[in-house]
Amino acid sequence: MNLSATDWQALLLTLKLAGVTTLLLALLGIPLSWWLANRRGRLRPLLEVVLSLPLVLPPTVLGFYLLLLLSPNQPLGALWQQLFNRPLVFSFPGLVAASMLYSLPFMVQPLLAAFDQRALPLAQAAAGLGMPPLARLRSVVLPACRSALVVALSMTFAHTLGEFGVVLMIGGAIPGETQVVSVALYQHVENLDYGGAHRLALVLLLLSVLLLLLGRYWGGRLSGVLLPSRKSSVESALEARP
Amino acid sequence: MVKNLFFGIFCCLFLLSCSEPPQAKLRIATASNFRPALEILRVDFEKSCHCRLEIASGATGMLYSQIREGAPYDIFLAADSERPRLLQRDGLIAPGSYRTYARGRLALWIERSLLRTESGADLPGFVPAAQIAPPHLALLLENWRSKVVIADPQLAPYGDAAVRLLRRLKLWRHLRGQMVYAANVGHAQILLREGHAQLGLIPMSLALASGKGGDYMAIPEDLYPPLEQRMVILKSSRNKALAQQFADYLLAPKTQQRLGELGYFSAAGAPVAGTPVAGTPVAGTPAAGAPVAGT
Repeated sequence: MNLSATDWQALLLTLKLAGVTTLLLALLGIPLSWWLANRRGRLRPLLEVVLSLPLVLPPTVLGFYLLLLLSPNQPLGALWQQLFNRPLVFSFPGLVAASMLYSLPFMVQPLLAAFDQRALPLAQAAAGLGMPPLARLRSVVLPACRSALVVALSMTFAHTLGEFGVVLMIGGAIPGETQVVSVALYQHVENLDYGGAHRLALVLLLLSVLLLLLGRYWGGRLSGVLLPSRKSSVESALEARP
Repeated sequence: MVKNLFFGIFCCLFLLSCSEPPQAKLRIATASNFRPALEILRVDFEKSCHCRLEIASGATGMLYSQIREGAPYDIFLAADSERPRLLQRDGLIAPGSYRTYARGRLALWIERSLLRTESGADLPGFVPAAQIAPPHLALLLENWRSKVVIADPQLAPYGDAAVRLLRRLKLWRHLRGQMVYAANVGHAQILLREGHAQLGLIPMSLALASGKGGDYMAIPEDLYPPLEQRMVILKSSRNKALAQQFADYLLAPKTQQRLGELGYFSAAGAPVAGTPVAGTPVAGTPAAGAPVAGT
């Protein structure tokens, strides 16, 4: 593939952004979803709606409000500036924060659905048998939901790969820092460099297809690779029968 | 009860849709820099034509590729002459409609407090709204250590002009690592106004319109390539007569005169009387055209 140096840089940056975002979002999203799945109250539907808002808001609008919110003239932006002495916008950490917000529903929703449908009854049974909460999450809930987990991880990664509007608003298209593939692609298109655009789009497309296929593969047949499967002896015995 | 409510809402919507007389619509695609000016100029035009302007704005490069792909605009007001020329070459414009409607000016936008001494007086040579002399401009930029916002030079002619200005001042290599590229000049203006950066190079039209928090200085126009802003009426337009009427309005001496206070030079190229800079004392001594420090 005949990509220019800037395009390679953008591609690596995008992979890094998607990787870091997925990792951090998993650390945040799994406990958050589990907490939400265990909530039964009038607040829960409201929380679910708030968490899915990034799906609805146009990304550029989201980016615009982030710009207003993170402005050094506003409390939050001023606080960040005081703590780290550099602005959050125009920087890689800023992109990670924005991507986490933008991709949050893609992590939370599959997990929440799986927790609700499959894991909660199991966890309640385990609790009845005296298993402590953390152990329940680790050895009952997550193994039972591994396909949902793989879906959540791969969707988050893929969604972050294609992120455009938010990045465009708060990134500043700085090569090697905030110029991700989608922005570089946009610049190619607007600059009438359709060849460059096609090449980048192809790479992005292949990458996403590969990723989603891998997600399905792992989520389905090879699920034991990611997390050790813990089948009950009854299940194993049933499967072993001819 | 609910039924009545819906009926009421329906009636209101119906009446609303009736109250507006059927009007001709003119779809204008404008470079972001001209949007504030257009919003002011539209008032008079809409009164005289009994029509309504629908304005879409963005980077000239973006609008250009939309038009090439068949976007249904009547007129395209570009920030340069290059994109309209390409449309003409591709045979997408109404014959004879390729005209210069304004000449753009580049402004230096800087946070207000940075231009003052502690006692609140203007720093010598840095008078807000005045023209900044090349040596002062070079001095300021040489010592600038934080971000510089410009519109993406690949997409926006004003971004390109800003880069050429910095190259001309031999400061591009020095400042390159500090550049932040906004999607278009409007985005650049937001970044500056919200304090995400303290210095930027943006169109004079937006510097004039942005008001709070910052001050601008005019950059001598011989330091960057001329921003000859051209318009075209699109061949696909179904409102060519109305579009022509708007083009004539834009080129009329009275409108051209008003462009001065909106941050432009007239299409003829001469500074328009009433240009903000003309009335204020020019900072520094070098006359326009004097050699730039460092070149």
